Amino acid sequence: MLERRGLKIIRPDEGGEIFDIELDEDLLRRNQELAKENKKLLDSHKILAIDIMGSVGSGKTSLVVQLVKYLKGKYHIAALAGDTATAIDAERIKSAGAEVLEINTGKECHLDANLVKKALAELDLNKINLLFIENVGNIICPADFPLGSHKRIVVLSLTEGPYVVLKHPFSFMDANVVAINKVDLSQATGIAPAEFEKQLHELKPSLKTVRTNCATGEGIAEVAKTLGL
Amino acid sequence: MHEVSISHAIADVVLKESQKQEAKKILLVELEIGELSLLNPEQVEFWVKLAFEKTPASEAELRIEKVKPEIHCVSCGYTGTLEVKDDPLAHFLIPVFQCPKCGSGEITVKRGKECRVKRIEILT
Repeated sequence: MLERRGLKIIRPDEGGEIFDIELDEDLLRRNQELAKENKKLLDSHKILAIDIMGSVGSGKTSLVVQLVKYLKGKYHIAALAGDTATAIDAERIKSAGAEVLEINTGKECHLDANLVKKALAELDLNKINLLFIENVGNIICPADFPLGSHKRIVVLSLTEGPYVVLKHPFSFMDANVVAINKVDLSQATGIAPAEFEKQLHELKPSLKTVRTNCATGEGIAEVAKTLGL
Repeated sequence: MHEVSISHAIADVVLKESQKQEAKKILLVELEIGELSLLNPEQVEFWVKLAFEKTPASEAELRIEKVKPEIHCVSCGYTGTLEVKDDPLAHFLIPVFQCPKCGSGEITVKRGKECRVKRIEILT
């Protein structure tokens, strides 16, 4: 007889048997375990990994480009550019001076630890000590899929409207730093960065915020400092 | 947005197990979805049921239990729920991501982020 891990509970008239089977299988945990493996691999090569999350058009790639320009004399940098399609972001980061690997997810709305694991296998981990992982433009789904990075920065721009923090509180729970981007557009959008800072602090008092303009590089030095770079 | 892929993964786990057990029919599937996960239980229910169509699970009862957040504070050792802020503008209770006892931001989430196939009942 087939060995069953379930508990037999009833023998119904129709001749079959009913089994109650405890599965306890967490589908998100598979990703969490892979993320832990990624982190271990990064630690063993003494690489600090920072992932970047933000809405479409918030300025994630611009932030990475500016950070690479600012830090390339101090660190050996590589970046993973996550996107549904195209290598536009990868090209931009590459021309700033970092080694880049593009991860095209196709239709998937987020990077996951498995995709990052595959990408890490393609990089020469002995040659880098700082890794940026830019997620797909989306602040909802990526929050469920840790990648194995050490820190997370969320880019939140003034052009996304005034309600992003209120509507997406869970997207900031794992962030260490929030770059409040496009501060030069405060007047045009009618949104004061201080309003976001207040909302973010109420949501997560330990969260650090930095005002940036990633088009010009304003605030980048402070972002680097806040991330401990 | 990733409810579709997660739901397919849920269906996969259930159907593989029932195949292994040589089940004629799956009667019940119990899921747990954490309130801190970015998954909407209603959408998961819709997609899982769709994935079960034309399978031995097509008539299975689907029960989804929502799991409340539980955190552990690294600083003071507190284990328990998060404080929630009742913001009328938000239409729902927003948790404050810090230790309600000592105010530290060094907290780890113990429960509330899961998406788990808890148990199934099969007919063999």
